[in-house]
Amino acid sequence: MEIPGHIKEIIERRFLNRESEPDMVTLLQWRNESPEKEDEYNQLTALWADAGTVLDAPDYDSGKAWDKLQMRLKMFVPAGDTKLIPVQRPGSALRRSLVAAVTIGIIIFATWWVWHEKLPPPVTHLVEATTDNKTVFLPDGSAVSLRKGSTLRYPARFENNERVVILTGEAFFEVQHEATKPFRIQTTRSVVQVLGTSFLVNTTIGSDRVVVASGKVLLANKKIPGQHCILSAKQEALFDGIHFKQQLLQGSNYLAWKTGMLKFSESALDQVAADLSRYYGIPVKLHYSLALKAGLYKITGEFDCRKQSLEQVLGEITLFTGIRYKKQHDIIILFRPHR
Amino acid sequence: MCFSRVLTNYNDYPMHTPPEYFNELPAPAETDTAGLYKRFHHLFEAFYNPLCKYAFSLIKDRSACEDIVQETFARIWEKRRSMLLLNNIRYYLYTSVRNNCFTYLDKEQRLPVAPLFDYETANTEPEDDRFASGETKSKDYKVLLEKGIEQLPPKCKEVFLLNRMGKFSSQDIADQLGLSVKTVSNQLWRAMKILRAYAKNIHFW
Repeated sequence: MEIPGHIKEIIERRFLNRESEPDMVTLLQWRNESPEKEDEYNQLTALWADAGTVLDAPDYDSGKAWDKLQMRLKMFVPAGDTKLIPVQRPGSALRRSLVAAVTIGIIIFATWWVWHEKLPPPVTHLVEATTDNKTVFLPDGSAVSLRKGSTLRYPARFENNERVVILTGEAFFEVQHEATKPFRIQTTRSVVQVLGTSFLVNTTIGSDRVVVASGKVLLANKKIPGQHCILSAKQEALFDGIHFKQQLLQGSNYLAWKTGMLKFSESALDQVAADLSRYYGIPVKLHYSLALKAGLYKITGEFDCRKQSLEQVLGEITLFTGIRYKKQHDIIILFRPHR
Repeated sequence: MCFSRVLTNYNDYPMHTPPEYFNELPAPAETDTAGLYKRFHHLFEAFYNPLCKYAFSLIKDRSACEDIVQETFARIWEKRRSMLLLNNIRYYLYTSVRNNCFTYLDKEQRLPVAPLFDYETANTEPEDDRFASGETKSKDYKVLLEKGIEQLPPKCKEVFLLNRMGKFSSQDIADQLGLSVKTVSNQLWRAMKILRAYAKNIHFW
């Protein structure tokens, strides 16, 4: 299939995360024109992602390399190892102490000057949960549970009557109530604002998802702050950069990455597939033969995902529903066997 | 004491800054050697791995890659310290590493392609598409893709790697390589097409 030039340009921008909102609208329209186009787009995206993984491995040891470079540049000064060697110079004790007093005075003044007049900008902390989930306590006492693979940036102290943090990935926030200092979470496409509550934010390439456990949350478009929706407890919203989709919270598995448990009670198959995808980080999709009938399969059960692999969970589900699954290109597809 | 804290406490900023955030770090004054050194360290931490991987995709020799990247950084500190303050130092880094890789290949009289794996095994089709062979299949697929990337036509490969690994847009690459944006974009899509043909060989979409 030949993709039109302007769509190619948009896809190029999308790959580098530089797409604009009109881009996304055009791209969506094009993708919706026919299943072939949607398929073409998905293939390209998958290929792009896979090429990245192939080229990314293996890692190099930058710490070791840095030490080597420092040796080479002869700038290697171990911290705290620098000594001032006193040098005796001829001169009266009075003169020496005078010089010392003046020097100390200058140092004190300069220090005061540096700290009070030209206070450096607040230090930003970057927390990366690289190997495991992590809990971070912010300067205001709020707690953030950061999912493995996510990052959070926040200042050493919150100033200017607002508390702003920057999130990539997924995290559950328990925000301290401070009526005068709104708490804001920025992602690439949205701003989530609250006063004090607990809720979950999940940012992915496609969309941001906010799930509110208690209190009220405002989810706004980062580029057009006027566009927003307000969520109360037990509600969730998806925002793809253009549209908000607000709905009642389906199921209670949004914290599965924290608890390690997936619980289903009479859950529809598409919901189960979505929860599994989120937990295991592998897309689980329904074959089109199944997509329209997803509601007919009700699944009840509890899975301890820390002990069970995705294959084991799927194995159980296929056992009591009669559906089957196959793995295609790192995507798992659930389908109904032909009889 | 306080002076030294102001000037040399390098620990105030997180060291592992992702490359895309590098420009957001506070820039020191040109005369502030300690600050520059701090920035240099940041630059190193942010780009060492991406650059090594980029070099590896061109020359397939881990220790040579590390030497080339090391050399590039050493040169920045020794000769081109003021570059540290430029926002587009990313361009310089990638261009410089690329040129050094090509020089290395010239000097060693090597071909830019080193067969690292057995093509025969890569071409054997898995007989079943259920999970049992899912593992091997996805591994074969990765190997094929790697081979595909390696065998792209030279210009095509250059463009694709800059775009995929360096996250440069077509415009950026056009500026770096002195080509037109249209040419770069064409090469990029040509690469995608070739790679997809590789992928299709073992995937039944």
